[in-house]
Amino acid sequence: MATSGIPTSPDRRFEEFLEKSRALEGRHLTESIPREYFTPRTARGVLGLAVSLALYAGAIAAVAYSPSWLLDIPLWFVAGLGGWGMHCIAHDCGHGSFSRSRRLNTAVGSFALLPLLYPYHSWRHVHNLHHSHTNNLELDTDWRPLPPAAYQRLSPLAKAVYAGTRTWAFWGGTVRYWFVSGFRPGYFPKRSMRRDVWRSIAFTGPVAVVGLSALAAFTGVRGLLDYFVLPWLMTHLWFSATTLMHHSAADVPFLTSQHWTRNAGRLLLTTDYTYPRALSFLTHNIAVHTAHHVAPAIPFYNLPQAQLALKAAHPGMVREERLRLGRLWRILRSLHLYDTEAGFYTGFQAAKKP
Amino acid sequence: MFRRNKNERTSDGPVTEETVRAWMVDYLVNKLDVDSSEVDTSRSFEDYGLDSRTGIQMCGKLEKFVELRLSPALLYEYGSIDAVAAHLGRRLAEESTH
Repeated sequence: MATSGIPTSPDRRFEEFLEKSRALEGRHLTESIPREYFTPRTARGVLGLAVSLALYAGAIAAVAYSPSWLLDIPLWFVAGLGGWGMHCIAHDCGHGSFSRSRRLNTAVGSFALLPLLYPYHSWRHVHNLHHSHTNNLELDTDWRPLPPAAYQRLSPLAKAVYAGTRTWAFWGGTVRYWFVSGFRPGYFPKRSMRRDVWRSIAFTGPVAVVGLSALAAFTGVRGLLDYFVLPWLMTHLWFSATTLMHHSAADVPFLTSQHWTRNAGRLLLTTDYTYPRALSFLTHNIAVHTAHHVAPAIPFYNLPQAQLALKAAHPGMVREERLRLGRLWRILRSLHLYDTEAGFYTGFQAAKKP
Repeated sequence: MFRRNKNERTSDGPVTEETVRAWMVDYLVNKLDVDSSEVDTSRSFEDYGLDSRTGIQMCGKLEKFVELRLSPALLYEYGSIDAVAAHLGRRLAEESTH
């Protein structure tokens, strides 16, 4: 697929977006955020990890004593929230905002990603590629939509995976990313990245084999499902829903390299969701996402203040919405493929056109 | 398993437009079994009979050489060795300033 000249028939919405993007040219976005917000307080990060670990482990322990499978389902959901919260701490580690010590960041990040069995450096490098190319149609690593013609050319299996992870099996979207990048050093372009990834695999791989074997030996297949596989899937459900919602909306474009700019990628292509306070606390402000994309080195507990500073410096540039399940439903119902004419998302019906 | 991939970078020298061009010529010579003197860097990839599968493979190897994430459509987009090398030369220069 040649990408120059795409979108072929941009409408007013796309032109307005380009105007905003041009207005940001040459601006140093991080200058609008006070320097003190960049300083990590490791104890605060450790507290966040402890809260999420307690939620994850507590919910799994509760499953063990649960009298009914009807109670198991919400407990797995809560375990997934705990696992997702641990991921959010690893997220800070990956950006160097958990602590100033690289070793501590690697150690804590590697541990915090165990509920997902995601080797830390695999996740870190793939996530940095997402930051470097947010909503770039050619280069983003997360939730990049295919144009209808490319979708039609997929094998039946690849088509089923794509269609599933964009609709009813959205929770499998990050499972797919894990499968593609987690244990494949060859996925990464830099030699230094591949070396890091091997190191992380050398930690996560044996821990997974020993841990899961022991779990199966002591609790049987049922225990493996109840205490690891289902919490793992529920963690992916949170992971997938959150990352999909951050950068997918009917009025947020994906851009070819011709139109994509670093500043637009950092400021204009993210939707922030206002979570209920308890959820914000348990997910470590992951939904305050634009400030994070502008300055990934800001620790999670400083993001709300950083976001206020960013909004004051760039009025009308930060997209914010209240969290509603309807938003996710709308994405799953109608945002599936890339409309090469308009430059925005379109639905699967576009692939049926002759 | 431990065999070195000959298309990956083997030195820590800077990657430039020129080294990208030389790498691509070398790749085509090995892959398509043509003589290096027959490779005209301004000709389109299609003229060499490069199919889409080989093009995507080449792109994957080139990604490791330049150590940048590349679009699988890169060879379609730029069409010839010269055009790809010039594009990557610009991107490498940009990356080094960030």
